[in-house]
Amino acid sequence: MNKKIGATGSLLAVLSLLLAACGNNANSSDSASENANANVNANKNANASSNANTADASTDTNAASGADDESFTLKVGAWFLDDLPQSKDFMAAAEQKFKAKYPNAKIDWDILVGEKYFEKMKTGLASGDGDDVIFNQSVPDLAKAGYLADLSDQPWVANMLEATKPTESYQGKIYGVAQTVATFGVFYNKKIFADLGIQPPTTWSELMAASDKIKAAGITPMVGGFKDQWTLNYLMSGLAEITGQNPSLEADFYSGKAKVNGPELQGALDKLAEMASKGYFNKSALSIDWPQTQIEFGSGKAAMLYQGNWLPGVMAQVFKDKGLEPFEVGFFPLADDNGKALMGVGPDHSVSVNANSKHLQAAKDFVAVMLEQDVLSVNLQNVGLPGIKGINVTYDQPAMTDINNALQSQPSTLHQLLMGQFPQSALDAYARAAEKIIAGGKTDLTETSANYDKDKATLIMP
Amino acid sequence: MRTNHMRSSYLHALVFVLPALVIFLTFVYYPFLSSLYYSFTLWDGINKPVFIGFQNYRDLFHDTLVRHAALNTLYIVVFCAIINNPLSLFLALLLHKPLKMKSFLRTAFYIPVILSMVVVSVIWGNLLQYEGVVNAVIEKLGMGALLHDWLGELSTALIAVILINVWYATGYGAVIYLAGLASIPTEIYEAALIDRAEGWTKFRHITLPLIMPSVTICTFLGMVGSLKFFDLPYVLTNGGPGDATSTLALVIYDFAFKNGTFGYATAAGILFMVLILLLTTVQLRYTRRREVEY
Repeated sequence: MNKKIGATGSLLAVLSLLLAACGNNANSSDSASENANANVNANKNANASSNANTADASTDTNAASGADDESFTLKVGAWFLDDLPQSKDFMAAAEQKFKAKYPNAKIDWDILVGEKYFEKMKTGLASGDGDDVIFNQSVPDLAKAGYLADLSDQPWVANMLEATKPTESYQGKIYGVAQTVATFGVFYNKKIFADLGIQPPTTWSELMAASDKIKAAGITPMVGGFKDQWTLNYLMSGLAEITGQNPSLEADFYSGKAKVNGPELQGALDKLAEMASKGYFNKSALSIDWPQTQIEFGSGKAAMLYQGNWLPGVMAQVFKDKGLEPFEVGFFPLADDNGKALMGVGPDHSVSVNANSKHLQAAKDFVAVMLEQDVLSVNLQNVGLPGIKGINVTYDQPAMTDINNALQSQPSTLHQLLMGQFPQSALDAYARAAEKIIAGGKTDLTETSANYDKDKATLIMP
Repeated sequence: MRTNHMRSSYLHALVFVLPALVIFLTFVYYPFLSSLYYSFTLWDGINKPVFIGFQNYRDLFHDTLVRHAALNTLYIVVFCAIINNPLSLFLALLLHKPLKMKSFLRTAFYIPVILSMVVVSVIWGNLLQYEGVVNAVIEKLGMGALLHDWLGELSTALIAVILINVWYATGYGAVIYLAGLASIPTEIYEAALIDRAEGWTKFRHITLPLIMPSVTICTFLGMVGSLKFFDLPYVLTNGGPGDATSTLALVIYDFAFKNGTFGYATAAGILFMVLILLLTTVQLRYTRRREVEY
C-alpha cells in the first residue's frame, strides 16, 4: 500500500497552531531519533537520482554559492546516520548533489551513533576543531557560545516550519534548521484490537477500559522499555500535555504563573500511577530497553506502545529481520477525559554550520542541498516528517497517514519538558519519580521542583 | 669541586625528570587546579564559566539525589567490607587446602575478574531480566511467588547490583589472600601444633595477624572500588529505578554529561575526592596498626 501524502501541508496547518512560546533544545540529547534510526531501514529502494530534477525552486542553492573547482574536505557530524540503507542512501544523495556544485570536494561524514556524539561535538567545538556542518539538538546554547554561523540570510529560511523557528534561533537570528520534526503517540496492534472488538480510544477513560480488556485477554496492554529513559521522558511529556492542556506550560513555569509541583505534572504522575497500579505495563517495563519493546510489540505480547513517528517504519523492518508475523500498526494520540488531545511536536534532526569553518560558504551550500526535495525525501521516506515546507514524502505504512491525520485535526505544542525550557536536572528528577511509581513506590515532586529552581538560571527562554 | 659535581648531577637528574614533570604538571596538576576553579562556577561546558562562589557546594548539600547516592555508595562500601572481604578470605582458606581440583577452582573463581565490567553487566542484565534465566529457573522449581523484575524493583535492584559485584570481586580478593597465606612459613604452624593451637585459635592468633597486610590491601582496594562504583549500575540500571542504584560516581557523571551542569559536577567531584581521602586514610591507619612482624 503506497500512499503519496503531501505531509507538509497538513503538518504546517498543525504546526502553525503552535504557540511560538518556545526556547531551545536542551543540552540533553534525547536519543529518540538516534535509537530509532539505529533500527530503521524502511526505505527499500530510495532512488535518489530519480528525483534529481525535482528540486524545489525555493530552496535553490545556486543563489549565493561559492562553487568552484578547489579541492577540500567538508566534515559533517551527526549521531543518527548509521549503516542502514536509508542513511546510506541519504548520504549518497547529498554527496552527489553537492559534488555537482563542488566537483573536487570530499565529504567526511563524522558519525558517532548515539549520545556520545553530543559530548564529542561540544569538545570539538570548544577546542576549535569542530565539524563544518553540525547536526545537533541544542542550537540556542551553541549559538550563544558563538560556535554557530548566522544562517538568517539563507534561501531556505522562508520555508522553515514556523513552529521550529524558536528552537533554531538565538536573539532573533536563525542558527540552525530542523531537517526533520517528530511527534509521539500511541501505536497499537490493529489485529489484537479487532480480535477483542476494541475501537481506538478517544478519551483517557476509553484507553483505561481498552487496557482492561486487553489485560483480561492475557496480553500486556502497553509495553514500556523505560531502561531507555528517553522513552519514559516522552511518555511523561505526553501525559503532562494532555493533563495541563496548556501549550505555554513551560513559559508559565518560568514566570511563576504555573508551579512545577502543581496539578499539571502531578496529574501526569497520577495518570501513570493509574496505569502502573492496574498492571497495564509489562512487569519488565523498567529493565528492558527500546529495541526490546519492538520485539514485545511485534510478537503480539503487547498491544500498545507509546513512541515517535518512526515506529511504523521500524516495525516494518523488525517484522522482516526477526521473522515475526506482520500486522497492521495503528496510531491514536493520547487524550484527556474529555477527549481533548494536545500533541507534542518538535525538531528532531537540527543542522547548523560551524562559525569557524574554513569552508563557510560550502558548508552553507551543503546544508541547503540537504534540505532539497530529492535529498531530504530520501532521509524521510517512511519514517520522518519534514521540517521544511513543500517537501513531498511517500509513506508505505498506513500508520503514517494516521499520524498525519491526527496532526491535522488535533491541537499541538512544542514537546513539553524536552526542548530546553525545562532544566535537564528537573526532567531527570521527574523521570526518576515516574520510575518509582512504576516500581510501585510513592513519590512527589519535591526534587523536581528543587532542581527546577536550582537550574532555572541556565534556561534560555525565548 | 664537590658542589660542582653535585650541581652537575642534579642538573643531569633534572634533565631526565623534566619531560615527565612537564607532562605531569600539564595533565595532572593543571586540570586539577582548573577543576577547583570550575567548582565555584556556573558552567554548562559550552559557554564561559560564571563565578558563583560556594553556591554549588551549598546546593549539593540540599540535593536529594546526592544524598541518596551517597547512602547507596555507603551501603556498597559497608557490604564490601563486611561480606565481600570475609568471603574472599574464607574462599582463600578453602583453596589453600590440598584439594584435588585446587588449580581448576582457583581459575574458576578468578575468571570473572578478567571479564570487562560492561560485559559482566550485560550478561547479568540478561540473566536477571523478568523473562530471563534466573526467573525461568525459579518458575521451574515451582516457586512462582518469588518471581521479581530483579533490576526493576525498588526493593531488589540495589541488592542485585551488590551481589553481582560480590560475584565479580570475590575471586580477586581470594587471590590476594592466597598470596598472603602462601607467605606464612610452615614452621610457625608446626610450632603452633606443638602448642596445641588448632582450628579457630590457630586462625585467630597466627593466620589472621600474619595476613594482615593482605587484609589492608584487600580492604583498601575494595573500599576504593566500592566508592568509585560506576560501570555496573551505569550499564545495568542507569541508577534506577528512581535513584535506587545511583552511586556518587554515577550522579557526578550525570551532572556533567547528562544535565550539562559541569560546574556543579566538578564541585561534586571535589567533595567526593575529599570523602575518599578521609575514608581511606582512616581505614589504612586502622588496618596498618594490626599488622605484625615475625
